Amino acid sequence: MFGYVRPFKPELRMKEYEAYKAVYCGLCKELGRQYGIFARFTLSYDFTFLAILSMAFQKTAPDFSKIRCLINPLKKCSACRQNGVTERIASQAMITLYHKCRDQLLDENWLARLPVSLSFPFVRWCWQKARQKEPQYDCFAADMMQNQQLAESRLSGPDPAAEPTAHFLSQICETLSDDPDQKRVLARFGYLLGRYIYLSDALDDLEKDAKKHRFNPFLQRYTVSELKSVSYSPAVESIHGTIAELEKAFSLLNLNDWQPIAENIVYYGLKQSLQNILRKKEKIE
Amino acid sequence: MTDPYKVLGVSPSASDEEVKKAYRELARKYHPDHYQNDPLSDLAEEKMKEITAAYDQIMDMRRGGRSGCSSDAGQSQFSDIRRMINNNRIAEAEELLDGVPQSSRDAEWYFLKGSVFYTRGWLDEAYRHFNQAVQMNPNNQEYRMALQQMSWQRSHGSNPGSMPGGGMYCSPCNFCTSMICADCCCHCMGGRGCF
Repeated sequence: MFGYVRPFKPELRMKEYEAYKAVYCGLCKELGRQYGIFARFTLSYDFTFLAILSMAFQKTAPDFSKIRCLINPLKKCSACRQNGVTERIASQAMITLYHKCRDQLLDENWLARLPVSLSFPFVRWCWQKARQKEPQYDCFAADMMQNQQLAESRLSGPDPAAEPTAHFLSQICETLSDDPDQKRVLARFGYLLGRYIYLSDALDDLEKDAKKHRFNPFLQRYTVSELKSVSYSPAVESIHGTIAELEKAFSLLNLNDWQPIAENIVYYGLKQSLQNILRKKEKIE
Repeated sequence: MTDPYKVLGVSPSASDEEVKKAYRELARKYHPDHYQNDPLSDLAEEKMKEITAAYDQIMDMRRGGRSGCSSDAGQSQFSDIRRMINNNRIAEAEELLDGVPQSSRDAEWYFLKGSVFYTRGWLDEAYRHFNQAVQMNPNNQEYRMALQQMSWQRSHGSNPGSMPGGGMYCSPCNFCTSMICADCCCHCMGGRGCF
């Protein structure tokens, strides 16, 4: 996952911001506890959202405590953790990191993959530890990577190319609730969330992929300059359509205390991430 | 397997029209709309599935028995497919749709294929197919509504009237708030948001 699922801070209330930050800090601390200090630097916003979504379906309230932050040890900050959830998400984040790194090792040229190569033994060690705790997640992730390669080798357009990531997150989200109706909503929500993440990443990497002659779903029908001349509208419309459908599924979810933060992320954060991607492209020009 | 005629309560000698009528009456009786929030809704749904399966089976048997009525069969096949989609039997519906030869793919075919894509979350293909359906039959209200909804979503990234707080919040595209956000992204999480 790539950090596109994040809150839009100006619309967050203070208590929501504090709670969001506490979940982030709790996860960071847990990564350090289980996988060592370097693992803490790999934490992404996406997994924070997944943690919030998981906590929302727990029957008990999470624990808040004060911890010292690694970045600023003089200041104490709140950390939110929930038995079962925090450990699980930390392991899942490590498994995802491993599969992503492995993919990069296959992909890039020698120099570009040097940093990944150097850190790979450590990532692999984390993965071996994590997959014993989360064997099902590892299976899902391995399937996703395999299907992704297949879809890319077929030079697929946006729909089939996004399918592996979308299907993966659909499977993960579906397991979060025991209620059959919420499961159905979560499956569609997860699908669309995965689709959003994949398409956003594809739009973000457009120029890089074109330069390196790598697969990109939006470059199957258009060139980079064609897309640029229409302000990337084919890609933006795909992502907008995905966000709108995502909102519809989201409104059928019952997230209790976590509803306002999740609403902020879904209604504002996703669109903001898209704007950030587009703004970055303007700056490059 | 139970006798499909028994399930629908008609005799095997009943005409297609009679079978259809019996199916419609039962379907109306067990329609999910009647069972909203009802603790027995799952049972009603089971019943609904049973009825639909029986109806499909009878129609398949009858169609298989006849030969050489291509255009007519094409039409009724589409109404079956529509029902399958309504009952969330997406894989079957798609298989039947793909079996329709290119020459008999009309506006309804494109609409139904678009609906299959939509249900699966393949939103780009869905949009393309709805667009084709409207182009082939611009007068159909249903096709136009589906296309309009997707067009709105694709240009706005939301659904009409869906924002929480009824539009009290300002748009995230607003320059000032964007600057605050850009600022917060840099420091709120220690600047290490992604891999």
